[in-house]
Amino acid sequence: MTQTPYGGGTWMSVVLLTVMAVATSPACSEQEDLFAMSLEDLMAVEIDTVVSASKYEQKVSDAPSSVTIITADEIRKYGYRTLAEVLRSAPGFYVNNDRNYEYVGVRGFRRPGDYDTRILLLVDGHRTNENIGNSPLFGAQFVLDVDLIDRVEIIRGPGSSLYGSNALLAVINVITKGGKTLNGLELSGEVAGFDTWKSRISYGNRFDNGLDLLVSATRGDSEGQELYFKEFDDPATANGLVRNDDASLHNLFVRASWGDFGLIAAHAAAEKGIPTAPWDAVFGDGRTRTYDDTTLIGLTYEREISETLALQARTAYGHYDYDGRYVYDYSEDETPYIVVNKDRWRGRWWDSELQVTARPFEKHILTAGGEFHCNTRQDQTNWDEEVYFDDSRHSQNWGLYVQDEYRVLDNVTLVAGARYDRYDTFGGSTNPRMAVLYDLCDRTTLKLLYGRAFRAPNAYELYYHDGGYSQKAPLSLDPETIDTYEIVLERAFTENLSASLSGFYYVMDDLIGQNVDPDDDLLVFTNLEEVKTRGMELTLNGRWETGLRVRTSYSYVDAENSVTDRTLANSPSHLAKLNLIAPVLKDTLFAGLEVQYNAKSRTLADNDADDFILTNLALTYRSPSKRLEIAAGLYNLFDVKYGYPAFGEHTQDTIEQDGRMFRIKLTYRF
Amino acid sequence: MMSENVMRATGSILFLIACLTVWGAPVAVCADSSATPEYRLKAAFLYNFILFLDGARFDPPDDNAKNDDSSPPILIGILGTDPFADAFEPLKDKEVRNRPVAIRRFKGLDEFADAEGRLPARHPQSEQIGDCHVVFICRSEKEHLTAILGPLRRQSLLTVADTPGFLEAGGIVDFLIEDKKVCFEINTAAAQRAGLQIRSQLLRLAKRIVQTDAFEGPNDEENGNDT
Repeated sequence: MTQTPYGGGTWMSVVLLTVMAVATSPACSEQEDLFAMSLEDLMAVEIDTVVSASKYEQKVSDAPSSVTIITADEIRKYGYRTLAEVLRSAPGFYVNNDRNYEYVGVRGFRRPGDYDTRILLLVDGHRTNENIGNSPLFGAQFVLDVDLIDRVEIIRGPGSSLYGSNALLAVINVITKGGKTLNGLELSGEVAGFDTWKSRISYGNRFDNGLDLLVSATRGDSEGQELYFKEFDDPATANGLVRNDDASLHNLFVRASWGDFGLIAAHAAAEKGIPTAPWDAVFGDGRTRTYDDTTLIGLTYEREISETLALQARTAYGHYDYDGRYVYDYSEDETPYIVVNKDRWRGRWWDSELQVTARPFEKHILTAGGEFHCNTRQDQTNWDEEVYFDDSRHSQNWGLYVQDEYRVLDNVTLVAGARYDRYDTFGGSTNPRMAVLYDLCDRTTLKLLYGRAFRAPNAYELYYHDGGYSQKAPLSLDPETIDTYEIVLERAFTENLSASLSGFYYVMDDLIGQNVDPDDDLLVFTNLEEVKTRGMELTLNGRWETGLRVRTSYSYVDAENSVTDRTLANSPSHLAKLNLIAPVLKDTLFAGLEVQYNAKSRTLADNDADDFILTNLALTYRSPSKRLEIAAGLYNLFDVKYGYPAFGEHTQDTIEQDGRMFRIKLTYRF
Repeated sequence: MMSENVMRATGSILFLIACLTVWGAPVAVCADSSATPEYRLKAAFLYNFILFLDGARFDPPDDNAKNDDSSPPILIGILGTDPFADAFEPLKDKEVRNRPVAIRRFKGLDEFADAEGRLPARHPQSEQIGDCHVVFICRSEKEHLTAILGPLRRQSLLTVADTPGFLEAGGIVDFLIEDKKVCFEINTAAAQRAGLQIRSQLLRLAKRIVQTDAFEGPNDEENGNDT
């Protein structure tokens, strides 16, 4: 890359000047005369940005955690393409992409090769982490098209006291859009770099009988680019050049709500070529790829029985099929002997929960509930010419929880709760949470938080082996635990500007990781590791009614393995982010700028993955009638060369990411 | 230590941010002095509510004064940290029920704290507030609703807020946001206690009717809350 230091800037200024030339002066437009309108008409006026906390929602400052909410409006204006991109903009979050899946790290923790099992991903309150590896899917394999997200609630810190297993580092709840927000038929098409296409057709409406319905289908394809890996730069392996970066996806989504009932049915089928040749697969063979097929059907029932008592019940069925194809050369001489190894997971589960929220006495809000989770199928198979591993399981677990929110004084609230979980596999786990929320003065809140969370060992860790070639199954595993201590200070300086400062200390114990058993030299999962994390986060958010919106954050972490006294791999100690939406033309054209700094992080081979600044810019035009929307995005605007630390299965030490890439998206609402 | 990549990108990004900020700023400055769309809308609601109220002080002034410049204005009070900004500006040359409209702003209760931070049990300006026809009680006062609403409970004026729990605290109309639209709930028992009649056209549009009044105890005629 030969670029002068300000090359990118000059190039950008041309774009901006063009935009400015087209744009008229941004003067305040004449207000329409609302005072001449009737009440009925006023009640039909939609306001773009709602500052009020709506009636049944908790204000962010009242939540006993550190919370970030990202709305559909931001997803649009920043041109986010996957859930991982949405999460990447949250304070303390960072991503990895191994050109197969996208992974998310939180507050310095994401060991290379982990399946993100310490983050719980919910869709409309339903658990989506699958039931074999307990992995949430954040990339193109996520069960929902990001265009159908109403908002993403990111709750940092432990959530096991309410949500059970996997809620160690964060709980992410994705809330889907209702049919009413679409109010008709919507068609969307996009084209992006590397021959990437995507189209969506959606219909949504709220009918007079009260039924709110949304139906949507998405299809996407990407040819991908030709990549170069220096580790394979050999004439025998095409000088390190490889294609096999293609992807395709299908999404179907139905959401219906009627009265107290809500139903969602989401399905995603995704296929991805793996160009990196992991697990010693043959480099450059296009048959090495993964297929992920996820279905989630969830039913909810919510009822206010009286002014002081509300009931919530939900039940969900989940279905996850994973198929991996890895091409190997088993030849022991010069003649190739090519075999396609097949890896298969089949997961099926039911999950039901009943929750009661009551105000039995003044100043108390009591939440209690129970969850029952039944894994009807947890099958893992690996075979090619012979079957190495074939394991079928089913299991169940249940949990009971209670939480009390007690307003001790006008300005002091105490939240205390605990959940007990019982598993077939290892027994019980109790996880408490305590929070003190103290309104120091007008607009300033101090939060003191303690929480404990756990992760049950999953079926992959408990049972996987390869017939004794290199890996064996453990005799037993205990759950992992985390204890967290956090202090948060939140302050709203004005109606528009707020800041928060947080300091935290995490102790993760009994972490499950692969180690070599000295007795037989076989790899086995053990509960050996302990990690201690100290860190702080500073965020500053501004939001003005013209649509100007700023989110900035800086986070520092020091995550150390206390067994080895070393900083964790893939743990950038500094993250800095800027997200800016600026109105270019009042109410119609917006620019969304995203700048993210990741400090260097250690790779598995003890090198550094360089620090980098990633910049994305999007322009979104929406016609005054709100029917037509044109969005243009430039990702990695300055074509910065950067890579993420690779995982144990890779020959590479870092996996290089995409250079500059464009996307143009057209959406029309009939 | 920053790598070469980072150094290179920093300059370009700073330039880009500068461009966007310079461009975004004038748009933003426009907004700072003007109300949010939400409160513009709520201001129009307040104005409209006046058309649907009957009570002693809403009766037209006597015939001599009718259409006279000197007819006393309808007073809209704003109590607390005012979110309306310039939203009422267009009302300067408007009339409602043949009377001009005037806005009165009152300080929030916090401003009357004594040296030790103690707050008065009743809002010191209750008399002046009581002269208004409609009073909007801003969200800044959500902890002090009793001190504000208590002294006004026998005044025939419409108390309005957009604070959850306002009706339960004895207020008459509370704004809500549903599906990005402004709507409202009404406490008819509180209106009745204040000696204010709300016309059925307004009641019909309410999302919820509450018939229990904090200052009177449960109403005997209560028969469910669906209307």
